[in-house]
Amino acid sequence: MSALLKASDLRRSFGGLMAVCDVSLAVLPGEIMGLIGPNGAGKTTFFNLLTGMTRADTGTVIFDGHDITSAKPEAIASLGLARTFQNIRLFGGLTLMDNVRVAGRVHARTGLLGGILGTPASRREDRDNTERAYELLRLVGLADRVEHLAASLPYGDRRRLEIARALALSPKLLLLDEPAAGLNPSEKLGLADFIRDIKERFDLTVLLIEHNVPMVMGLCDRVMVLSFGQMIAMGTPEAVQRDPAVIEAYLGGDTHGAA
Amino acid sequence: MSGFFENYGFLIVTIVQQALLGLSIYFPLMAGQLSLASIGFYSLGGYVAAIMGTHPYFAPWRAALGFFMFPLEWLFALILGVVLGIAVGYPALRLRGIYLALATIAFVQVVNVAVLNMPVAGGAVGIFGIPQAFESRLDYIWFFGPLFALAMFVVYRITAIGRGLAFFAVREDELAAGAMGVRTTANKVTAFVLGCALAAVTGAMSAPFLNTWNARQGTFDASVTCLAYVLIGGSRSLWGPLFGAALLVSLPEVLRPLKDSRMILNGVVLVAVCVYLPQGLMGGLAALRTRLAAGRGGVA
Repeated sequence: MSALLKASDLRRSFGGLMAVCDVSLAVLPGEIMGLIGPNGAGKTTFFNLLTGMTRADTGTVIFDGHDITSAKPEAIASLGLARTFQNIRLFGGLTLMDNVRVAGRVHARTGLLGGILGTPASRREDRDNTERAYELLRLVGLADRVEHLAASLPYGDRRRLEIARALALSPKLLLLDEPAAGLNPSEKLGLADFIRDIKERFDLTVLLIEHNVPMVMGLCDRVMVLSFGQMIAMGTPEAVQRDPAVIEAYLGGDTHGAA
Repeated sequence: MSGFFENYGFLIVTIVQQALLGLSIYFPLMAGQLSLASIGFYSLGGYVAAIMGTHPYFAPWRAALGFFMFPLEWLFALILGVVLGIAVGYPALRLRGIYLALATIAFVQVVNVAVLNMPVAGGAVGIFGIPQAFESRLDYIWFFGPLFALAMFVVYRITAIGRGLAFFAVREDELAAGAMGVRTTANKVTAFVLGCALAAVTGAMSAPFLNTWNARQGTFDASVTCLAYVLIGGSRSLWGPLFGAALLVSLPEVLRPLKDSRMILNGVVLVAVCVYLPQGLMGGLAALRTRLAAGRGGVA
């Protein structure tokens, strides 16, 4: 089976700091892959490299047959690679509905002039987009607040809105940057089920950064571990959990001594 | 009633004309871009009309076209506004916030110095005796009125349609907008060019209205005044530029009996609006409406 996403020898440094160092990764269609690592390991930088928000120094990224190494974020998004943000970046001054509708227009055919003149094609497109956005908001359980401003939502709901917005891009691959951060235990439990559910429903491949170990172990088919910008382990959750290099990265010290 | 229009016709038309300049700043603001370039395009549009209206080279055109020379001037100003707007917009819109504002102020200065040194633009003296379209000043409302209605319609439609959301997404969070498939650069340039084109056509209509055109039309002071229309009127409402222009244009006239001290009161009003209505007049009205509605709900 050929990889949906293939990153080869990706490298990016910020001044003297090597944030991501020669990381290679192949994500297969239909899998849920976890990306874990201590704070500052380069996980979010790695996501930024994949989505065109940060330019790689060296290396290539191939997504669904396209070389997206130096593509713009909007071009990458329109190919079907969607993401959420660790620090949640919603359009706070727009309604929930409009947040989702922005992304829903990714494949829109009608332009500004047609919209201003109110051509039938643009009206139909707007209507379809609104209906789809409503469906997605219902899926994440926010349908009762479609006209509220995104900035007025409590934290957990913002995470759900961000996922709905990403799904509006009709992605093939969904990158989730710490989707469980800040959620309470019962919300975390629900989130794992929810991710499995949308993966089946929309035929997605998922790559997620997560600190919550039980969730990663229960949810992911494979796990990749980053530490100081380098990939130190890759494999099934069970194998990674037992890997001495991973234990050392997380607990520090040497594995021969205190352990 | 006819006396009223004779006395205040110039003022009323000036309000609409200035509101158009306010709207030309409102367009890029919809995409979150604070640009002061409008007044440079206004100045250039005015020169296009002034030169086409007075230069001997265009004499056969004027003779052949008669009144239709005016729409042709608008068209030329529009083309200049769009082409130059794209040329300026692409590099300038790489800058953000205050840096973009500074770059567009620099653009206004460049235009100002350029026209001062162009013989065809009449140097410091400018261009005099621009042919009039109408007998009365008030009749110029037939120029500015429809343009204002058209500009307001465009703004209104942009806020109503799905395509317009791309502007607002860029305003709210440019990085996230890109990640959601919004072509950020193209949208910023589009919003900017809409403003440039509107300012240029407004200038082309203003040259005959004001009868003379010179470099003083495109100064930094004028840029800041236009920005003030939007900020005082309310930068999140399409009626903001009109209300801001109405207040700022008419205030010195209303206060005329106070003679020289009127400028002090003028300043006091501006500061008061900034302090007590940070969202501008329209923002203040909206807040008042919400409070009244809440109050009524509380009684019931």
